[in-house]
Amino acid sequence: MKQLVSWKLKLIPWSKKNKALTLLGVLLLVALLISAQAGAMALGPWQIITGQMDAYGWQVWTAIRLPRLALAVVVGAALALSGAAMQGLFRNPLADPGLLGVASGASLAVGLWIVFPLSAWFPENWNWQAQMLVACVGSWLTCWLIFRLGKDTQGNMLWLLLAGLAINTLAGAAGGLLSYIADDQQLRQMSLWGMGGLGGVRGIELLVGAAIASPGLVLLYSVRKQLDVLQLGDVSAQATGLDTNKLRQKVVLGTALAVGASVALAGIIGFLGLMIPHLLRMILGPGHRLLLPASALGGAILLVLADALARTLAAPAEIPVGLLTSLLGGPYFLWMLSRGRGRG
Amino acid sequence: MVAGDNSSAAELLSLAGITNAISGFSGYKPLTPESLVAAQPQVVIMTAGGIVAAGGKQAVWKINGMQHLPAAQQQRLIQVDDLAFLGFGPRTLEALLQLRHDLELLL
Repeated sequence: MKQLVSWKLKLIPWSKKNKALTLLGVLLLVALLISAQAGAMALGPWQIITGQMDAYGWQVWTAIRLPRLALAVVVGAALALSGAAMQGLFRNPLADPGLLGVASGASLAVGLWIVFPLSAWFPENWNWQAQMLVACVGSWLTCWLIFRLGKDTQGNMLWLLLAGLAINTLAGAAGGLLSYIADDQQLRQMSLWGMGGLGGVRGIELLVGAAIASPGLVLLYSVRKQLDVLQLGDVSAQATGLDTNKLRQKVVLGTALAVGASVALAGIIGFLGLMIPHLLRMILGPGHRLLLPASALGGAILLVLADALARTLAAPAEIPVGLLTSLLGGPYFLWMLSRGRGRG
Repeated sequence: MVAGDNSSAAELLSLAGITNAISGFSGYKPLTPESLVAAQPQVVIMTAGGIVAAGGKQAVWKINGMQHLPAAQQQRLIQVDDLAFLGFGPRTLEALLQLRHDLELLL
């Protein structure tokens, strides 16, 4: 019997990478199952199995809860994957998707949209979709501006970093100015948008958002090997034949697509993009071939679970999910950090 | 944002003889779409400012969860004055009568 097991293990190349990704995949499935069951109404897989799901319940479950789960997976994966790629690109542990102005550009655009009566030009029942569109376009414009300003033919990433910091500060100040001239109603709308949440999205918007985000996710995933080479340093990486400018373009474009779409759908959700890659790097090591897919799965797991808590903990009220991702992930991250320091 | 227990809006509703479909938290909080459906309100009451923020009366029914409500079939939506519902004052009685009148027209 023992011989049989060891023979089987030899047959399947059960590498560390496969093991980690399978484990994360299983965890994601478990998280999805838990989250599909959790909510204000007693609907879920259990009701389907026991036959308690009526037509109305099915309608509500598929129209409200399932799109929300899918959104959590897409947004969580987009934020954490682009965070991991950005940290690899800049070789800077503090880099996150926000650095490219995706979030600040989107908030500025949404702020302008709310404060100035531009919405009057759109048909009345288009307003909601229009706001998502505005957020998406705002994030792309800012991203493009930072990319242009930070362009450096030598392949140095420092200028991109500095341009990002400057534009983010500017956009933040402009946003502050907007909240200064906004009236009460507009102010509340702006701050609610800024907190982020997965509750406002229906199936149609989700499909459009996912269609925009997925090419970005694929693009980010495709550079995993180049990112490993880049860790040698810009000069050495170029000596191996790596086109750092092209790599930079790919990461920026991928982040703009993936995170721009998720910010438009779910607002600003903190922690995931910065911390999930760090967390997984501490556990799995720094290689991007494993880190990028693991981060995408890890981000999806955390957001699915955090959102399940966001809509059940204070039900019937809802807690902004960005608060929960930080509250769930933060202490664990700090614990990992202190353990790592004690060992080193 | 929805008015829960111990809010001036909930108090006004009870004075008008209306049961607030939403309870379980106090003050004004964002509502989970599913809780909205679970509460099964017959009529939706919104402030004028809230309707503008949603993008108009038609857009209110596009808010996530709204389409599954009993109120949605005949689009039973009552618009109330923002200031009258955020506190008590000389116009409170007038607002209550108006609300009662609107409600009886709808039901």
